[in-house]
Amino acid sequence: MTRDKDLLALLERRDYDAVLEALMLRYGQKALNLAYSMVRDHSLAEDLAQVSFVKMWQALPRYDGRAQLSSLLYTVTRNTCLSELRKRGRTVSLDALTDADNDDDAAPLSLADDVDHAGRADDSYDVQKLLDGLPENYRQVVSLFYLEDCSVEEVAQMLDVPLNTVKSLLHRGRKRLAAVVQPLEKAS
Amino acid sequence: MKHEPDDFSRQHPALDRALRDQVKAPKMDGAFRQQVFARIAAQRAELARVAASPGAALARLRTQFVLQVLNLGAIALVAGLLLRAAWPTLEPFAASMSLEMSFVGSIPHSGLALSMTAAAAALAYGLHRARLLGWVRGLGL
Repeated sequence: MTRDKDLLALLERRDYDAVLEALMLRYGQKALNLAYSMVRDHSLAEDLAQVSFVKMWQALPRYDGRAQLSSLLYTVTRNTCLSELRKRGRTVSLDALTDADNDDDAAPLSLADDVDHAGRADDSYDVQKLLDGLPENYRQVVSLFYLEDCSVEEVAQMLDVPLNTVKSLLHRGRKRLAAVVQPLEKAS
Repeated sequence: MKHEPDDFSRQHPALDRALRDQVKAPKMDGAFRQQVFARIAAQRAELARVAASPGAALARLRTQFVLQVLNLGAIALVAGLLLRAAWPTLEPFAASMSLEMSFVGSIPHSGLALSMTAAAAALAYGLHRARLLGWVRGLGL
């Protein structure tokens, strides 16, 4: 709240365009990161992030100051992306994360047969391909973790899930990725 | 960059590096902001168009009005039913407030009458609070 305290004066003056401009400067990249971690498509992420900001602009006159503006933006962005994913027949449910508490040693990635394609090329990995093999919830947390400079706290705030849930998902997601690339690392 | 090596990055440095290097979202730039404001301008233009069309505005107002009235009517009905159910308890109080027994007796269901009066008052108050009375005048209803 402290960070956005200066925006309250703009809100009182009903200068919603200025508030939105400031929000875009402060949280625009984060909204894009969040959208991208969910839809994994650059142009779609841009489109949905823009829609989210328009929705924020519409919601600003009703803003009562109780929630942080950034939290509100993340919620709007998440819901916009979820709605789009539902339209496209894809679902992301962070609620399902807690149900996966006991599957730490679950079956390996489904892309095991594609290891050669996901594996090293010029001493690197095809991360896109590797991430494609992860369950959606793991993939989202792992992607957002790296997009957000490896800040677990930031990821938890953006996804509005407990810190321990993010840590657990991140651990399992990366463990699965490591299991896939381990044969390649040994071979090299 | 806040990245500090953790167990994973120590055990799988190449994979960790690849993840850091390759997981990239689109960049927020001036064009992004311009596009957002272009979308907002389009919305404003649409709103202005709708506002300039009295038929559309009236239809929208009528729908909202009917919904609000139905909502308030439902609340008033529940309030009336509650009052009616509580009437045996409330009757002595009504009598002590020097409510003419002859008046009460002249109405077959005095509890119901009182309930309906209270409900009507609640409805009028609700309409007033929702500023619907102004709407009613504005819509010529």
